Amino acid sequence: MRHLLIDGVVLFNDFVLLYFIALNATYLFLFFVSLIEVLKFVKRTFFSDYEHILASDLTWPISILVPAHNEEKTIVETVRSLQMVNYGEFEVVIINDGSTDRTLRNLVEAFELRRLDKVYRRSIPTKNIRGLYGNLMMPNLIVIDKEKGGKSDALNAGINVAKFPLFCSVDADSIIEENALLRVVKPFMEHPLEMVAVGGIVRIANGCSVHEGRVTDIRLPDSALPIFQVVEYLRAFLTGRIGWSVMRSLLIISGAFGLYKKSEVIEIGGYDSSSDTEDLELVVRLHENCRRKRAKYRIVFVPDPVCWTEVPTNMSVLIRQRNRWHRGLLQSLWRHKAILFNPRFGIIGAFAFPYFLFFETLGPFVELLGYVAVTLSVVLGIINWEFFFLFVALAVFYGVFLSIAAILLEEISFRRYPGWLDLTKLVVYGILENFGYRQILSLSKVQAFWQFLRHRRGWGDMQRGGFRKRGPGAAGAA
Amino acid sequence: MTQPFVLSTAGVYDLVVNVLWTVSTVFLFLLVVIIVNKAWRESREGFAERRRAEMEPALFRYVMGTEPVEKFIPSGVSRRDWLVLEKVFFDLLRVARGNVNTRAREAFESLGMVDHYAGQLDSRRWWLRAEAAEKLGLMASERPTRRLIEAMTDPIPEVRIRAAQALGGIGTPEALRPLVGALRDAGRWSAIRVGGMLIAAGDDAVDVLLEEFRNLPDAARISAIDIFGRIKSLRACRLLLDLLKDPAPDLRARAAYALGMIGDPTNAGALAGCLGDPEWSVRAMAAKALGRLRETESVPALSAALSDPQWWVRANAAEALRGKGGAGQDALLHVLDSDDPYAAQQSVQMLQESGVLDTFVGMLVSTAAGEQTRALGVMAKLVKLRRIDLLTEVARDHPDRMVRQRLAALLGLPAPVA
Amino acid sequence: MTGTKAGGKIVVADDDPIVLKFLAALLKDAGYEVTTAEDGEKALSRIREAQPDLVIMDLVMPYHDGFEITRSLRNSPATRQLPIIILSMKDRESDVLRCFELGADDYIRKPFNALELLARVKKILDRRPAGA
Repeated sequence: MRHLLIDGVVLFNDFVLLYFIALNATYLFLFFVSLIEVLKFVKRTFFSDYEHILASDLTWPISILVPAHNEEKTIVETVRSLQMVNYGEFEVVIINDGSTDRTLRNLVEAFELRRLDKVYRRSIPTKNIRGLYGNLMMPNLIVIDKEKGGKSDALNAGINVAKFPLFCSVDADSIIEENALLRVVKPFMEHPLEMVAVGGIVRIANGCSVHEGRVTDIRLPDSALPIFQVVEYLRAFLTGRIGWSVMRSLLIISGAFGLYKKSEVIEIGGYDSSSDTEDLELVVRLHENCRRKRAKYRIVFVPDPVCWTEVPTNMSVLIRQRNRWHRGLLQSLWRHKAILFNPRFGIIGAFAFPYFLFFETLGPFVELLGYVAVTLSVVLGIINWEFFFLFVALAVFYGVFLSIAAILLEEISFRRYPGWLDLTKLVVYGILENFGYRQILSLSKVQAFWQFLRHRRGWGDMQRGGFRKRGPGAAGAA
Repeated sequence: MTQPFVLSTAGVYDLVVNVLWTVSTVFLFLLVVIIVNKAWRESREGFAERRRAEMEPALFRYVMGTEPVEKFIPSGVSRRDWLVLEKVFFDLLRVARGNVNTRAREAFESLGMVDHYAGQLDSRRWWLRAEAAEKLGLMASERPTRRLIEAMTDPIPEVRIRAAQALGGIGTPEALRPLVGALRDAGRWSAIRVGGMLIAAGDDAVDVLLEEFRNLPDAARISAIDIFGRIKSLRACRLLLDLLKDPAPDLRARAAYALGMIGDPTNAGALAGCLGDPEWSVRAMAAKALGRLRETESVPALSAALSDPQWWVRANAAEALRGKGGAGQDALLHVLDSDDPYAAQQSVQMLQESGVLDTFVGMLVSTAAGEQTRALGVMAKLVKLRRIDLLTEVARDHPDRMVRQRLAALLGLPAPVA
Repeated sequence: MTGTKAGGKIVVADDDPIVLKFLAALLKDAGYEVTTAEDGEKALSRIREAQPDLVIMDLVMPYHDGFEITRSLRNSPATRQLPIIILSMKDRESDVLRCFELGADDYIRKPFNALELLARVKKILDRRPAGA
């Protein structure tokens, strides 16, 4: 019996090592792809031509959709800051998704809105719309009042009412960078017929000073948990998303900010309410649809910061958030399992999907079981120090390497954290991240997997009802 | 007793360990790079700022004066100083024009900057070529036009785009011709970008476009048409009116749209004719265009278009009527009686958005002959159409009590409290 | 509040540093006394402190935009007559009209012509009653 156990552990040890070698090789590959792209991008934009885009009448107008549920304290300020966005022609569409507080009242009072009998196309079925509000002096502001249906439903209602060919979905508590629209519309101007969706970099607002909807002073957060997330986001965006985008298999555009071609989204029936991460699900379905119709299309990521969002400062809230992301990822993977290794889906089927399946999904299990195996080995007295050393190096130090690499990328490109102290903090936390923080998140992903198997859905019990604070979506580079 | 790896031969193990050593070294190296890079950059920026603070006031005086620029520059300027100088001038060009422009251009020439960057267009490093093209564009000198035209065929897209932009800024027919040519090349050039550059060049671009129009393929023609519209070129109207009868529906639709952007009311008749086009996109664009013209002869045709089977045509026609003053209002009011529910709904929205309904609400208490009756009539129609969201709110909030009472009665609501 | 007749105090507010520096140099050379402000907040406090004879400001600035500041200057009796020149890149008709509705005296588009601007400034400041 003990013999079998020992054999099993040894075999597992080898599997773990090979697994992590494969995983880290993939990360390294993604990193290099991203590095080259970021360097090219930085060189490309040393004189920004955003003024040209702003001035160009040929730029497509954009509808900004903001689903809101119980945001009475901040909604008016959010709208005001959106109205000041740097862009030519755009409209702001607020969807009041069955708020039970003064959200609607505050809007009506602040902007002197009245009910209007507008005509719009019901392209996507949604929960009942109770009324439309506007102000004749402000033709570019519309408020939709509807029954509660969740974020997806609210966005779909917004899509129905929006009048422009492009729409961008924005969280009510996100802060949009001034030039965000200019940055994300650029790909649409380069390839207007092919471009379907564009995402950008999401930054963390904790610790930054915000005034009237603009981030005025950029600083690292004070407490540890958000700083860990800062490093994580840097890694996920700068070394992950960009790489995927270059390889034409970007599956995640942050729910906090994304620009989409309306007609394409209507074609697939809008957002899906039954998904925990409707942004991921939307992008996967967009890919699927475009490939099915054999259209030449692009879904890209602009390596430019577009949006700031607040992240959880409380561990339990963070875990709930990551649970939801992971569950959503699993749901989408399962729902679209036909993509896996399917030649019709090109590189997505050959590389992206398998990556998410073998590494993102399986990863936490392998990692945790790896820790168990090490413990067992010690207990059984068969600890192989070579294995132990290698395992720690591959599973842990590699993460440090990636974090530092991401911080370097940030330093040479955007330099949003210019101070020496901040830089040092980032490096330190980048190292510390792998001694505890990452392991806890892996645990939560395992938990999410069980929840997924048991069909547990929904947001759980959140501190703020309704729309949860957003992040980069499911999965980052772990 | 330790177990050896089942799979690992000494070779694999060594390989993995070597990789890890490499990774650690790279990691340390990265740390060093971060630190060095940051320190170096900070010192460079600090220097540049100081130099700028020193040189800037003199340059401002140069720009507002008449003496040659050499008098305002300290002798013995280094390459880094040139960059500071450039930045000051480019910043100025961004916010000021007129004499600032002229003086800056003189400085660029006499300091040899134009020649320097014209030469840099031949650099082997692409980002230097792109930089050269960009800066030549900002300097807007005609001399390097030939070389910029060549740079438009550069293998690197960044260089091509900047060269094209530079040519657009120069604006001479010689410079603009290759841009028009770029409209053809959908693979290498984004029509939107090139279009933007030609629009910025304004009337100068119109001549070249009119000349080349016949030689352009259909896709490029559409871009050209858009450009005529944005430049609001009256000279292009003749061509556009001809295009309204072109066999390609896309061209017809775009030409209609462009005529709307140009805004000349004498084209209304032709556009009204397009409201009968077999293609719905053409009808929709014609309706939209008519909305932009200040005239009323198209009102009957637009009213008829309110019953078009296509949603977009109806919506655009209603929007157009909204801007047609009294005649348009009458047409919209008339449509309230229509059998077509969609048309009627569109009119309601337009009447609301143009404030006409508010006027009628006010007329509910009017003493002028027949006005009350008229107003009541309109309200009744809205009730019949069940488009009463706005009215319901007004019945509650209107400052005039009589108005509130009348509306409440109409809507079948309980009488408002005093 | 009193400058010499040929001079005058001007507050320039814009979040673009080149505009601030250039206008300051321009106006100082022309004999005016210039105070600068990089955002809406500073603009209001400088105006309060310096009590200028003319304000030149941009529309888009952090903390308070040009519209707000114009409105609040016109609402206060001390600054109701204070000449205001708006200097902005926005050129939509609605924005321009709104500026005048709120009480601005002049609207200059960016990129601006330096000599024209000087002429307009001179015209406004020469109209002041001496010693007012």
